[in-house]
Amino acid sequence: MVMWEQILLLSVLKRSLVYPGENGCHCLEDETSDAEVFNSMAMSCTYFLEGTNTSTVYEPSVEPSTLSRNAVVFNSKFKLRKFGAGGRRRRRCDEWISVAKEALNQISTVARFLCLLHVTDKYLCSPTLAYGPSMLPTLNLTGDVILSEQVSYRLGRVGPGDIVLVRSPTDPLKIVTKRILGLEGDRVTFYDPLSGDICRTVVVFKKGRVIFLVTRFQRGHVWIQGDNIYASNDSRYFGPVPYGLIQGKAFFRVWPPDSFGRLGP
Amino acid sequence: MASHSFLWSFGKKFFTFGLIGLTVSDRYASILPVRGASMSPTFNPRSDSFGGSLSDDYVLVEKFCLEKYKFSPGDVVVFRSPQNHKEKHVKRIIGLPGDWIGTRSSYDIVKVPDGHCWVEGDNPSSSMDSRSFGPIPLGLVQGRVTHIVWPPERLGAVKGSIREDRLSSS
Repeated sequence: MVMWEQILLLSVLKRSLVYPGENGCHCLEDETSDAEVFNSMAMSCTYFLEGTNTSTVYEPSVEPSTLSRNAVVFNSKFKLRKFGAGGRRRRRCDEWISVAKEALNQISTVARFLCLLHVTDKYLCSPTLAYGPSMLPTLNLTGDVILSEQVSYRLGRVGPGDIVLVRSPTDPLKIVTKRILGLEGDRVTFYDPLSGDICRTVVVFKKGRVIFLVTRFQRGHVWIQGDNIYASNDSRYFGPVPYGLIQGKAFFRVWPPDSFGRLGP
Repeated sequence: MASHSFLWSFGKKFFTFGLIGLTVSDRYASILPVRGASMSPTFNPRSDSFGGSLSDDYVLVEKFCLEKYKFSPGDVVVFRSPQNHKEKHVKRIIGLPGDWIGTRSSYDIVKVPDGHCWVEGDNPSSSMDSRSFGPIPLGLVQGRVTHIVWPPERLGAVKGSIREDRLSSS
């Protein structure tokens, strides 16, 4: 019974002995180990506890008035050290450290969030503003916000009819929205703007055979074309584009609200 | 229960590091191995030994150039193969848009179209490059090789110089 009381007293003491004084910070000297404190406490505790109400015992023992400038407390059984200006400096230093830690925490949270954003944007799904006349019946001239997903082109699951985002082969900083009309080996018939009103049929690169007239053809290319055949700069001009230029597949339209819904073949 | 929470915290750490690593390698820099002998004097000089992955060079690829797509002739770049989007190739840029390139096999002169570049390997005898598939769109470029980081004895920057006989007169 007494044992438990002692431990309680010890813990109360150890906590309340560190308190800010007028001239700085008083605290227990570091080398006073728990065992020492405990042993020295034991006698006085038992003395105090005998026949006394325990709740009244603890109060006087840690009264601030017992901590003088020279810091002697409990019959000089505990050595106390007084910090003057050095203590203040140390406290300020601690403050700075804690502020820096806090800031670092915040920054790392923000950085992690940005990383998550980047990965979502690059590997999962991202919003895009598509404008211009080239996809006119499907996408508006003034600008539609569409969602594009980056999963299916990585898995090779895009096919004819899909609307894709492609890095323009003529300007790598521009990303254009077009519809895939043919993959490797497909036969594509299109209205050729270069040679008047002639419909021309090309086979998009049968393996190893060169069929398109303007450029040489290889495997791994796709034929992209805008829905508006009169105002679209697409594969009819620059030929089929490498599959590696595809940046995503548009699958959902968010804006304008009246045409909210799926996009697709 | 303890193992459960340990697994949870481990998974969280793993996820975070994966996220950060992926972002850094996408946006800033990454390290890639170079296989094959197509860039032989520059990378993998002992190509005839076929030592496997142990003798491969590892190179540092920076991605800051992708913000503007500004390159200069002689840069060594990593790009997705125009024929197979899953492969990446390392070649040297010989010509940029507007340059005239003489192909060595046939004696034609080709003009590099807008937004394209002409890439060739340093080892012409075993290189699959623009001489076989023509100029490639700059949009396929994934980064510029700046340093060799492995093996340690060949650690150093990659020089951006074109061999004399490939200098194009524009």
